[in-house]
Amino acid sequence: MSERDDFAAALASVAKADPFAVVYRATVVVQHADGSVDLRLDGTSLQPRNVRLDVGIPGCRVIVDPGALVRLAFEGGTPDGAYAFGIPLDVGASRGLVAVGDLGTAGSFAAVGVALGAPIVFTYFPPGDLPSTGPPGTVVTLVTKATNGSAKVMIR
Amino acid sequence: MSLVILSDTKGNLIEAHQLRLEMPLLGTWTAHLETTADTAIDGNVVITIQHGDEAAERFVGTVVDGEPYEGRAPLVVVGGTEGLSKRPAKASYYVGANSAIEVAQLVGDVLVEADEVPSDATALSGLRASAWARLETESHARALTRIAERFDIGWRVFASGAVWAGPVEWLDADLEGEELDVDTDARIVSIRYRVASARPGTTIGGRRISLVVFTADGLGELHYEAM
Repeated sequence: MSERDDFAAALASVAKADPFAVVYRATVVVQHADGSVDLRLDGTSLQPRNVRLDVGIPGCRVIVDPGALVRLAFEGGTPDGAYAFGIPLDVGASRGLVAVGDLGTAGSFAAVGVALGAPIVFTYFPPGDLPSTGPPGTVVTLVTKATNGSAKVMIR
Repeated sequence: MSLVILSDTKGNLIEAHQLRLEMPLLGTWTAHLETTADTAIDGNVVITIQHGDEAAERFVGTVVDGEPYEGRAPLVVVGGTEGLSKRPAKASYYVGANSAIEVAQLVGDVLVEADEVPSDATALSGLRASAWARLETESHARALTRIAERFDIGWRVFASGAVWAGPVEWLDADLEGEELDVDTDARIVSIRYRVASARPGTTIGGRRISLVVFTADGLGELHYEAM
């Protein structure tokens, strides 16, 4: 038996001895306006309500959907210390969050007058597609400022 | 020599020639007896301990093991109704209005589920919890101990069988008997009692008593806490 097995066995014995010192898998039933959640636990009939959700990121608030998996533990190992945490990482998440107020670009326009009196021709270049040699004419880059963001994750 | 009589709900009066009754600071009292009864004893019983003409002390409990064996009848009795050893049918979770659950409610609900009688002396006013969880895997006795540990209070089963919970006050009490010896290493006072009235949670002879033991021969022990 490896040291890892020994450690696991030692933890298992603690879990048997004290059910308030272990971590439970739980499913979110509903989330309240204050961010706390009602939970349904695996392996026990306990249904904790209004449990605070500790996100683990400073200044962050998360909206979770009913059915989401979280973990439940008891701070200090006491029956009044219930808190939820441990929302699983989503390996499919690849899109970076934008905070309200963040600046970005919407692309650039190159404006060229082809002949006197003729209309100015605007050529649009998406973000990142502006030729490194520089297009002819005057280039105008459109700067954006985010006015709304994710409805799932809020930061302070 | 004390007289130890066991009386059951059928009206039987049985003398016990051996007894070891232990009353801890936290939890129910237990008594191991041996009688000459040749039939099984079960259900609610009263253990009466009397020394000569002194006042009798009565302990109301329930037999948890009382099968005769080879002419001997060993018995195990616990204080109260034995309901504290049982578990709740399902878990429960409390959330109080304005983050306030009365601890008295938590204790009261445990005793109702355990079918035990609460003591009138229970004093829990002013103690509140923001939330509280009870698991179906833990006995009612363990649930009371959880509450006691969290709020730094005590609970035990009185001699009357009623269950008490509240702050341990260590009130001064007299030993109705005499001290025979003191083991300061083990913190045990050996006593000879006239009346089995010593109780845990009191202060006797300047010592805080955490466990009281009575035996059938009129001897006993007072275990005390380090000061």
